[in-house]
Amino acid sequence: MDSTLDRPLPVTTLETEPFWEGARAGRLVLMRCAECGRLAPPLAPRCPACLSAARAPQTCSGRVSLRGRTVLHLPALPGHPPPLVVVECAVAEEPAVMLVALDPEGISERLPPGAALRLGFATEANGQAYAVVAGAGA
Amino acid sequence: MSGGIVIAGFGCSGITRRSRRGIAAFALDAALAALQDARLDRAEIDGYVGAPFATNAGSPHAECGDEISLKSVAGMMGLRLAWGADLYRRYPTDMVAAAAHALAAGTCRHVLGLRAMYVAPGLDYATGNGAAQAFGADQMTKPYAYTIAGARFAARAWAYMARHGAGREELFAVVDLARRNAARNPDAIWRDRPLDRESYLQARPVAEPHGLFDCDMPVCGAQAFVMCRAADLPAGASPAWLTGWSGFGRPEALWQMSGRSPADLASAQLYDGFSSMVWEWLDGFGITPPGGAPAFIRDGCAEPDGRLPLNTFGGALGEGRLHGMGHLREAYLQATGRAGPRQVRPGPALVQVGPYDDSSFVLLEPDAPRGTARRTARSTG
Repeated sequence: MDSTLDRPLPVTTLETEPFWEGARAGRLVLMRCAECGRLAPPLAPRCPACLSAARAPQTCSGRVSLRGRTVLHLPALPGHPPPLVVVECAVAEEPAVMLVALDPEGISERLPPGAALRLGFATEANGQAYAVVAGAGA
Repeated sequence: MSGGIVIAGFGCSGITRRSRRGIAAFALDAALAALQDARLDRAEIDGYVGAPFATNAGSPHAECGDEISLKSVAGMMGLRLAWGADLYRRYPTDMVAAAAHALAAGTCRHVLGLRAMYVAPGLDYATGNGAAQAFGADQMTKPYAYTIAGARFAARAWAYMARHGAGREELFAVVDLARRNAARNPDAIWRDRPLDRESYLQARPVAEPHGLFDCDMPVCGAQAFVMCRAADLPAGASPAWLTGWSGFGRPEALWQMSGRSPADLASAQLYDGFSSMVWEWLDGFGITPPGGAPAFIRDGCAEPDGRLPLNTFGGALGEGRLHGMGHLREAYLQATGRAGPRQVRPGPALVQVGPYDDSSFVLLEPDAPRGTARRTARSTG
């Protein structure tokens, strides 16, 4: 329980605040370009497609596809003893946006690359919400 | 074109898993060995390039602790530099490109390139220092252990293997080749340690599909090279001609610059910090069809007598984790015909260093690039 407090806390900037505020509300929030409509990864200060700075937060569906998966066998994360399932996912609305999440329930096990998943957020004892795999299928 | 630029010599320190000697001792051993190999006095060195960043999760990034920069090397060696640079989070291949640019511009005549690695005591090398906060890009990855023990490469390997029907047997083929090649490399950390299939398959998993022996061994060690224009080659030195270089965003630029194609390669040294990484650019350069790299290695095409000898010095998996310097050194030795019992057909030697989403490339050759008069001033030095 105590060690859970040590899971790294995101130190946010103006660019990443919408993502983490959305996470606290259980929603996947990305910035959508007001010029060309593309969604940007949380760290990007401008639209990666047209480089416009005019953007607004958008709540996404949480639908993602499984891009990569590993089972970590090292004590890598305080409060989360191994084995630890780590996945990388492409956001359905913009597959160029890749997000990392834990899969504590092993939902991704035996699924192939590209499988549809639903991303959610789970709040830890440190008060921070982190991305998790919440379900399989569209 | 590269304008007639060569690597004139290469040096290696001892390579060991732990040491009471500090990183600077390894760095200077390698630098002196490179100068000796290039038949050059240190007073002739007027350029320097390094890439000192320690990439392991637990690094304290301490100068002369687990990193060593231009300033320390120049000070400790009494170098008088007209130009020098340390490249941030870059690779030996980028060091070669940077030195080539400085030499082509005429900024300096003899560049020392150096990369040292060190395993500092009391640190958890793989899993990091347990920082309570994640800044910048880390906030999207570190709370998920994505940067630990090559998790991100393992995740990519899983998808590749699932998509193309490869398994642990195909990963073992990579590690097996590395260990057998390392047996012919007197500097390799695993030179006297063959690895049989059963031991490999039974080793503890690290980040699936990677097990313990799919990860290169962190070491204390350093390697260094000397580069110059061909006209400034010291008498008695063995030149490998730099015929091309490029970054991964434009890999075709390597072939355009060199006038070569992947079919011309006599050997390839491909970065293998984790075993699955060697597949990336076999596929990426079209040497194998998409997904064909695992079978290429498994079926013997990458053996020293195969279609394209691969990581003939044992790779990082066999030699130790020198972050691509070993790959560059082997390409130099192969191109100059000095690889001893490891020597394969002389010809264009490819070096690739870095992960799939951030690599760079160098091509070394036994002869001058086409259209460039071979000028080796045997009287200088």
